[in-house]
Amino acid sequence: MDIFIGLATVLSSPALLGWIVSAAVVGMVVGAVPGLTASAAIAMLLPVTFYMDPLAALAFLYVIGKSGRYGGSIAAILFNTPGTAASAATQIDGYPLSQRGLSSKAMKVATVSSVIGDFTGEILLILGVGIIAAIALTLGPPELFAVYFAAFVVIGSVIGKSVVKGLASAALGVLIKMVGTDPISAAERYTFGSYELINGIGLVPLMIGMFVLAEVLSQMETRGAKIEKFDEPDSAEAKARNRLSWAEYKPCIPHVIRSSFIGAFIGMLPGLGSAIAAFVAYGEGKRRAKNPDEWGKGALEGIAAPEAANNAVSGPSMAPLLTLGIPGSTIGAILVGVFLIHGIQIGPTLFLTSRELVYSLFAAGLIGIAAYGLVGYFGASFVGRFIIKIPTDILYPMIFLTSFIAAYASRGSLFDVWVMVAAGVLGWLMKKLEFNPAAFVIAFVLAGGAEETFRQSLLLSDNGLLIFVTRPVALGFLLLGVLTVFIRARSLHREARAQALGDT
Amino acid sequence: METRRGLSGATAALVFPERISSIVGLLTVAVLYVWLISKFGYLISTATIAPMVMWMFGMRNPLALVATAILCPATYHYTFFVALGVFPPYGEWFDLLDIIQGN
Repeated sequence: MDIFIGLATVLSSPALLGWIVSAAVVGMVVGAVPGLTASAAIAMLLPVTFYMDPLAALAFLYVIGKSGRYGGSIAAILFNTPGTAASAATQIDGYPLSQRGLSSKAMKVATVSSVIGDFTGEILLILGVGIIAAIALTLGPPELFAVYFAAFVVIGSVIGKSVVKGLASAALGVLIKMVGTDPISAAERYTFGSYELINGIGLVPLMIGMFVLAEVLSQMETRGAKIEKFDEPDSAEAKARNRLSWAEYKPCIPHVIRSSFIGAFIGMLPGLGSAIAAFVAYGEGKRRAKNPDEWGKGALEGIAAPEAANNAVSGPSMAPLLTLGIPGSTIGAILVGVFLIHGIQIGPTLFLTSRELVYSLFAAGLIGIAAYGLVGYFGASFVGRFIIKIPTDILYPMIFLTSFIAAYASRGSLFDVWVMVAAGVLGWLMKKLEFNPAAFVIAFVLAGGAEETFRQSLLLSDNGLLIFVTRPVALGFLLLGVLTVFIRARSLHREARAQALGDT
Repeated sequence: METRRGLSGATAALVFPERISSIVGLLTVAVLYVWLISKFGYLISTATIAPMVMWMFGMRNPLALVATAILCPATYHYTFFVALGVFPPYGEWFDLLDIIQGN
């Protein structure tokens, strides 16, 4: 019922609809530019949204996240370069189709599958989030801390190639968050006598540095690399060949349905994200396919499966964010900043205090999916042509300059610009050394809540740390975290061994 | 044993890129930019840095570089400090805004 009220709110506001449609276009373009990600665009645009109405700000950034995930497929299909990590699986079958002059058909399959996947994820979120929030309301500080602990460990160990480096990245994020004032005793921590550090390190400059400036530095390294040209169908015959018929799409449907549920399930788990969902769906699709030999050579199903999965992640990844305050992705971590700036406390009480806003945001998500679906279905080729014309010697300098003013605008502080530059260097180094900037940022966002619940638990406890062991739910989550590290380390070792055996 | 080995995972040595000098150059420009903002305000610093960064990214057209020096500060200034109402960072030593605003 709430979602219909949300839809009425959104549909009755032309300004809001305008923000949603523009977000659909911006996200698609940004996602399609190789090297630029939706996270980078959201981080840059975040300060602009401070001056917007909370719903418009959240809807704008949320829809950019959605269409950015889809936009990655345009670059994967047309340029053989995934616009986002999540679209790398789409590239496997997308680019061979493009080489055969079927790029428009491939993009139509990607669009339809992304839209179905995204709608599935969003609807599951709408149906399930209220239940999760009701459960979350029953959790006390020890249970919440255990959930935070599990999230830290899962995010640290699952993203990236090394568990130790992932956990170290998460630990660094926690350490940086500790800078500032102790929330209980008000004592200064790691401020080194600096007035600016008393308020802690700002989330916005940190994000802009990590995702925007670090990317500009990476682009400096790869500057001048040629983008492969794509075969754009122009003749009437080519256009006819690129039409997508029902008979062609029908075999994709079972893959899209299965992949949508795979993506939705993975989306609910913090840290796993779109890329993992896309590859799991691709692997599962190929395993069950009637034509596995054609996968990898330009099978339409090979595009449909990963695209449905990577977009189905988007909605359910909001569930841990909205109900527990745990961002499952970097986009989620940035949205935490938007909620905080507008004075909205995320967590289980969000559904009591801002229920209408939350369901209006979901409604905006549904409309955003339809918007990028329509724009993508009819205009993805145009977006591809537009992107190839963007000169990188203008684009990246503009992004560089924008990152500085965006970091400044967040709090009107030059100190934040220094933080952004430092975070940019750190982000670039972390990528070079295969540490994990995403785990770092998510841990930074989680650390405040984790510290608060940890200390509240100790104040409640008569037996110190034993409170986490004596409460079954808390113990369950702690064990889940430990088990995740164990399983992940084993699987990484097996992968490395299999690869070594394959090489010899 | 498997778990212990898997924990360390793949190790990556810090391989310095061929274009390390460009990256160090860009970082130096970044630091210089923030310092310039603090001393000369936003307009002059952006007019100085914008063409430098474009040149570093390969732009060699002199007209484009001059246009950048004028359009970038004007556009960003208008968007953020006029349209969005953000309070601009005034230069400690000199600021063009003082002259523009007649102070």
